[in-house]
Amino acid sequence: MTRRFSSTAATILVSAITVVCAVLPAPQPFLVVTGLSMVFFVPGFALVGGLLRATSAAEERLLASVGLSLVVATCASVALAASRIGLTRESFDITLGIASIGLSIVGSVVRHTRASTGSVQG
Amino acid sequence: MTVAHLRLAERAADSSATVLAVPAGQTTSGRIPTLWRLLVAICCLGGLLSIAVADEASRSGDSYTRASIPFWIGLLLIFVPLSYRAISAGVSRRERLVLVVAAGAAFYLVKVIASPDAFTLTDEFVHLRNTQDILRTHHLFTDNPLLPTAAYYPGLGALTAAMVASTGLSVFAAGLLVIGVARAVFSASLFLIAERITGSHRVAAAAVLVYTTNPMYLFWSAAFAYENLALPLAAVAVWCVGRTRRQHPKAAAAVGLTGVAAVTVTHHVVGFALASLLVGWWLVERILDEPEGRPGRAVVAMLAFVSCCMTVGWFILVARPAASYLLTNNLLPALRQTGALLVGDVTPRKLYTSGGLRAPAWETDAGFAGVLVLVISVAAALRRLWWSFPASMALAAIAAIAYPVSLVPRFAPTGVALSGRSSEYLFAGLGCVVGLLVTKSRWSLGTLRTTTSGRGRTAVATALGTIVLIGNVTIGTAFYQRLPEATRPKGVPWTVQPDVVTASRWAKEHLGIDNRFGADAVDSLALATYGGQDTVNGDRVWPVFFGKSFTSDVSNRIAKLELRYVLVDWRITRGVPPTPGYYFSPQEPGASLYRDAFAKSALAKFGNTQCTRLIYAAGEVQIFDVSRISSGSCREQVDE
Repeated sequence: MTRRFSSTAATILVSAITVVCAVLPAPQPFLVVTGLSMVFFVPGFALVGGLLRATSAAEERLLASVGLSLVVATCASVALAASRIGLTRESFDITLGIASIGLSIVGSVVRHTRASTGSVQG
Repeated sequence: MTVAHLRLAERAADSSATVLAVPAGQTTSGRIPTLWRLLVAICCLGGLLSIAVADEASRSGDSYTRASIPFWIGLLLIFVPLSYRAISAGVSRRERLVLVVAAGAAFYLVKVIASPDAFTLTDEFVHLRNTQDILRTHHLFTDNPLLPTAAYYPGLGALTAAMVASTGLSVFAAGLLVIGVARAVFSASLFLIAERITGSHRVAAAAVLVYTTNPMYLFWSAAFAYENLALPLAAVAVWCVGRTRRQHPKAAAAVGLTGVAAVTVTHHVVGFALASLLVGWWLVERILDEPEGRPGRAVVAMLAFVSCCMTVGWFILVARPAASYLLTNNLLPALRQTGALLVGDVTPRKLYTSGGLRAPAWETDAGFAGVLVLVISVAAALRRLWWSFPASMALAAIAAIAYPVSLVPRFAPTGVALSGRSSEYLFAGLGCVVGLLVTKSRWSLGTLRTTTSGRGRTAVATALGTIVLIGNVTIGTAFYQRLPEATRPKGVPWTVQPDVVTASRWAKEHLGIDNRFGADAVDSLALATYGGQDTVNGDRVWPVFFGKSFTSDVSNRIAKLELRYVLVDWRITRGVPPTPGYYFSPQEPGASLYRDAFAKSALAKFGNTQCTRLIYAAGEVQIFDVSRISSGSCREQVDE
């Protein structure tokens, strides 16, 4: 439980930092780290929490995190560019950051519900 | 029999990823023996180093025959030890997965080492322009003069633009990262899908390695191009759905829908391939009709339906230029010519020749040997499958059977692309079928176990795989394009030259963007990207350049195309054009059949009339202002 909580908290923290960096000035190396993690890892990692069992192999969780992040980031960037908002650093980071926080919370709720109803642990 | 087989395979996969059928002799330990790890790592690094040496020799002007020796040595150093280890018995699942991902990454680096500081392949410029447009406008669907269809499949461009905006990296760095990570995802997804289909991680490793031997894998599939993002997106979505649909159908459906959407907006052919795969998957399960599999099947059915609707809907309603590009310009001519070839109306294309250049003789033999090995392997594997056909292999078997058929268009003059590009899809199924040969399998109803024989079988499989790899590399890329172009090319360049990039940047700075420009096919790539210009398609602009003097036809054409500038590159008068065999367009007279260089008088005409104005000249590159002709104000003075 502690490990799951830590990973959810870490996901939310990174997402929140990315959202803050989108509106406040930050050094470029910092932006590279947060930007890459948001495109390649965080959204997928947030999804995996509610999708794969905790007992799944680490390599499967890693693949799902990276692969689903690419899927989510592609959809988000196309959707933003197609909308009136437009694709900018601010719109992308805020959208993906908020989506990741939302997915983390949903994942936690799903896991908690599964555990409390006695179904297969998520 | 097949029903029980599939059920067992899926149960095994669903219950835990690590308990899939573990054949005798295969360990489940995650520890990688240190010696092998070291050996494979050293060989991969040595291989990449050797390829870097070959690239450098080629840049400095060494002949292909000489420079290619370290290239081939490097490829073998990467492939042979890694493959041998990955398909050996007694290797853990995790190690195999790491090895196949490493193979994909190492082959990706071969392309990166060849072009370490800029995009060089034609398709990369198309998507560079897409990305630049999205960064500039923050929106989609800006006209792409290099390939109008690409603007309507903006997944790669938008993702890369988002990454550039978010991190501050250059488009080149962001593009390399996106395609590199996507390739790793694809290798891992393919491994896990193959493992679920075949029930063995050893066969899965072989399947991925067979995939890496497909003709397009080394260079084409490593390019910054939309297909190379869409395929990994499709693969990871398929794997996730297969992995989770029984436990969490709703979550699997949501992930699947997101994946389908991402693929739909990224690449047309992958969208159709994914829809076909999902329909095929649903059909196979529908025919089997297992009661316990119904919840999962409903997810596949829904995804198949949505995927068909989204792909076709986007293709028809949004990506309007796609139909003519894909069908009228590419697929139908290739099929027509293949048909004509089969009835004897068309002479077969001369293989291994391009632009008057001929590949070394041994490469022709290697190509045929590679295809022969693969066709025989497919036949042997299908024969083995015949006696106890697992339903999970149905789609893979169809792909394997389609492989020999897909070779036929290669002999037609315009069928090469169809044959080559289809391999990127067919090899996924073909790999699963051929991969079965690495085990001495006895498909068993009760256990799904495969028995393995010793190192001899592994060594033979590695050797045959190596023959296929070498053969398919010679088939997939023209020999002189496997190594970087010389810094000072002697003939007609096949990549964008630095002085053209400089001229393009000058044009952007002094003339502004989106001016109607005429240029040859290679220089148009630089003008449209580094220069941000509206380059006119080669199919329409070639008559402007081909006229030996400024006839009324030339000036009418300039006016009709509303050309403002033309870029003249005198290097096209040095010799015949290499692959794809034309200067401007495949429709120009003499395309693919040139024996003489482009006429100097045809280029000199731009400087011999008072209606044009030379506004840029540096070395062999000139830019002429032809706006007085296009506006009609100078037509009277044109020399007829």
